[in-house]
Amino acid sequence: MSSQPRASLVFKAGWRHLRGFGLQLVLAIVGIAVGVAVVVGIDLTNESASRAFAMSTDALMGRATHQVVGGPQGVPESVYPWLRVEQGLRDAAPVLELSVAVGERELTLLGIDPFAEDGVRGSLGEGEFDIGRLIAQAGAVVLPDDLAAELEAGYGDRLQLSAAGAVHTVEVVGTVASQPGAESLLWADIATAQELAGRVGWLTRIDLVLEPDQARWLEAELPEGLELIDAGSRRQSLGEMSRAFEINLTALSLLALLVGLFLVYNTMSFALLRRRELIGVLRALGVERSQLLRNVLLEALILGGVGTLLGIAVGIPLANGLLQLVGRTLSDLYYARSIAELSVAPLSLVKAVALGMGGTLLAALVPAYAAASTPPRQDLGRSALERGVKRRLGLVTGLGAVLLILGALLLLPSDALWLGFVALFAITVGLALLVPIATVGFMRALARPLGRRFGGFGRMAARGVVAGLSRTGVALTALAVAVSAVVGMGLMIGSFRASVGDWLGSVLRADYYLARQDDAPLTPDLIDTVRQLPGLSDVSLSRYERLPQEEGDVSLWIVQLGEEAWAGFQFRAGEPNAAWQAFQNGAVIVTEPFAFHHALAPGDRLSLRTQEGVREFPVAGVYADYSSDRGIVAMAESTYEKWFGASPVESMGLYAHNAARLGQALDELKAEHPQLQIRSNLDLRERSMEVFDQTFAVTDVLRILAALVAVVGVFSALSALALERAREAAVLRALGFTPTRLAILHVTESGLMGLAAGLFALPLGIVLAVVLIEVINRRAFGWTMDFALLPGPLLDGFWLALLSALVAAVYPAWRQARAVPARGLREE
Amino acid sequence: MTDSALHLRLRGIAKSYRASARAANVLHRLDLDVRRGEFLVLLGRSGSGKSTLLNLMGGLDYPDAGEVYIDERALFAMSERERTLLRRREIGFVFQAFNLVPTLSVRENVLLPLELNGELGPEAESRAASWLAAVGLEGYGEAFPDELSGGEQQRVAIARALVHGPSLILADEPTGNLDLSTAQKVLDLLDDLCRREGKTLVMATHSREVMGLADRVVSLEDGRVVETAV
Repeated sequence: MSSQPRASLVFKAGWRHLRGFGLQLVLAIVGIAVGVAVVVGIDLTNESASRAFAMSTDALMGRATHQVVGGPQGVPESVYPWLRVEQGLRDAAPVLELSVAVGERELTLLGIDPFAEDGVRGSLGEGEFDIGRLIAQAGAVVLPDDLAAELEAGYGDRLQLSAAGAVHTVEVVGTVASQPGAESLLWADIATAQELAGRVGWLTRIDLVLEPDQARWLEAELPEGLELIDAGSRRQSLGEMSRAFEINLTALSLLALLVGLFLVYNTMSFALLRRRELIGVLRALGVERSQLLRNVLLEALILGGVGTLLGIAVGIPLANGLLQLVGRTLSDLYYARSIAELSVAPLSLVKAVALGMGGTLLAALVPAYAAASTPPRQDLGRSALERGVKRRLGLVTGLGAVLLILGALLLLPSDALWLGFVALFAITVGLALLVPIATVGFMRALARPLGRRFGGFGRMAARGVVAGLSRTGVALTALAVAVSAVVGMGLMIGSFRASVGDWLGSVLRADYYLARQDDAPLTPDLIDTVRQLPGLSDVSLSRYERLPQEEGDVSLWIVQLGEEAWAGFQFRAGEPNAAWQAFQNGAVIVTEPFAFHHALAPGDRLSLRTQEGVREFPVAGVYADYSSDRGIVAMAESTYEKWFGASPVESMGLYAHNAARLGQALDELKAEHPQLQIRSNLDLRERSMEVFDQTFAVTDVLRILAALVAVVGVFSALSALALERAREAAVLRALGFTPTRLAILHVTESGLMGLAAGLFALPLGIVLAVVLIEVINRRAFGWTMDFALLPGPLLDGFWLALLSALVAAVYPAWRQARAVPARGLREE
Repeated sequence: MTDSALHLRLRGIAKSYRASARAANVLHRLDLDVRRGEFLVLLGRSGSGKSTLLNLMGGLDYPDAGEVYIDERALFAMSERERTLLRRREIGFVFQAFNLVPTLSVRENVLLPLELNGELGPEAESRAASWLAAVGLEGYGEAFPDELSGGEQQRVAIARALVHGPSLILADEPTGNLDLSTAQKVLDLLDDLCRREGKTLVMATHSREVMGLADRVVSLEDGRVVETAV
């Protein structure tokens, strides 16, 4: 006969006990599921965006190992036969890339040599098309199947295609099988593409498959003004474009994870607290600690498994929703093509399982160990449990202080982004661990005035929170952390928004801005007409140019500025007057993110590939700009013309001495030229802020999710607390508390918790915002922005904490008030 | 016996509990009268329904059938609020597990029934203090329940049950968690205070030692009351 009770019976006893708490069990699973769902949602969104990006890069670059690129004009067409015929490099494929639109649908047209495709990109793949007509017929194009179906275009159909500021008619001469990443591509012969682009005789680049020694040889042989770049490093640098965006999303998912872990810890602690008597009895019967620990962890695994599966099931549609939200931002900012499909990467699911199961186990480990290692006699006493918690309060506080100091120290030594995240995590956890001691102090301070105002009732509400610290402490900490994430993100975004608004107010100095709707260049005649408009005092001219470089494209802003426009630049480094002189004489100025990513400062030199080869330009200053996280190089039009050739103008800033008259004249001009887009200063500013808000729309969703996690956490805690205190409630009813008064006591206690969490979340949120602004954003993007202590996010956070605690209290209070007192008295 | 001498009248009380698929009948159409100022002991084995009967007398539970009359007022014809107010003013409970409010000090626990009845200020404080003195706990007012021994906690519970001057005291195994010597002291104290104040005391117990103090002893057998000689 075994001297030990059977393990299966011990497990059954615990499991049946856990199963008895229907609502608690559901909340535990919901807690795990929500945490997993948020992380899965964000991870899949990031993965899908990266994958979409990688696939479209593959569709554009194929097997190419190298690329021949030129200056802003591109590569002269004659280089292609020189490479392929004279030098015998058969794996060479020319391409002319062009942004086009069919109706509202934005597409990329690739001008190719169909016979050269196979060996390099193979982008056409399988399909049915008339290769003879594609080559010989002007305006012939080939589409992927899906796009043809979307546009309802078949063989022989004609499409109206906008390209380079004009509308052309093209004919579909076939379709090819749709490939991932190539959903928004269409193909034409290089000659057709050149005509559509108005760039006859030029190519965007030539893709090559080269052996290393061939590459070395070709590098030396290339004509002046051309360069051979490594396709691998270019792929990598293109991938890095969106990394900054992913980093912000990942930061949010880490916060969600932290709150999720708190929830799991919370739930498992409650489940074990409710079971302490059973544990006491089992221990008295001779069940070993290790056996109890194993059983509890097994239960955690089962809960974690169910929660994880649910979390994945919810996380996938969540990712779909998030992808719709971020897809537009990513398309606008980085890819210039749509991210249509969610790809469920197996690695993301593995991460979700590891997080859900591992996180649950980790979170259950502490309470499980504590439960298993308590002497049996103590398990039967509730006050012993609370005394234990109070004893550990010092340890928890000390650990919090250590983590806080460690986090602060980690911010000092380097500029590494990952170290910034580790510091952020340490500071968040450190501050979270200080919440219980702050709760004790806050409630003790509150008990006296509440007692004076409401008598024993008020004191009971305040002391109840401290007396049940084993339960209220964790719930309050989870709520404070979730709300602080909302406050921190709100303050960061608010500060960012204020800085952007301030910057726009400074940089947008012209009264009106004029450009073509299709971003095509403005004709010299039109520019002359505008210059003659009544009420106009000055104009500034500008154009954006993308210069391909090995370490990624450089956005060049070619400008002809008056002194008034110059005064709008906010210099972060460099003396504005000296920079102005230098700028006029051939130097460039760069934006803050550009300076950050390329480690540039005034006095340094920036290498750019010009028509006459690589040339170094002095950097005269670093200025504030929030329009691109990759950065921009501003160059005077005269400098550009000298080194790159003539620069067509794309947009004009118009300065008025009589704004009303100029406005009227512009209305007339717009009537004559409907393709023009004329925006007033205010209009452009509002539109820019709309874009900003849309970019951060995804964070709103995540903030709502964080709030949801917080409400679930508090609800779970309060339900458990109500169960815990069924007996106490019954005693109060026996003493003459009415059900309403009991419910009010419960809601008041919860309200006090919400009040405390709301107040603690404010400094925590402010610290998070400062770290996000001063460390994360600076290290990820190079942006500096002023921290703005905005009342809006602070009040939002405070009310969120208070209201979620009050809302979460309603159901448990209602249940407790309805309970038959005799039942509560019977329960031990 | 005249009606005015009757404090508590139970008629046709039935109560069953549903456990798993079957119902366990605890009380069967039970009748019981308790005189004003009487010390009645309810004797019975564990699970015989003593606590259920006490809970029904105090309106803490609902009978399946029957009625409880306190001073001829039908308890279960009242609204929940009326029942609560009656309990608040006229009934004092003493439980086996003491059931002090852990978040209130000893003094505050004793003050609680007074405060619920709207009695505040120095007079209430001095009443609480005198009841603490009466149970031999002067100087313990600022201590919290978990700092006291079991006997001390039960003495606080007795002070709390009596401080607001209820006419009916319902005590459910008040010595069940105490050692013999402490139990005797607590019983003597409860008996002494109730007799001095003219309270009706109904005490549920399975301990035959209490019988010597009681005016009348009834046993609960198979859900019915059986008179037992003292």
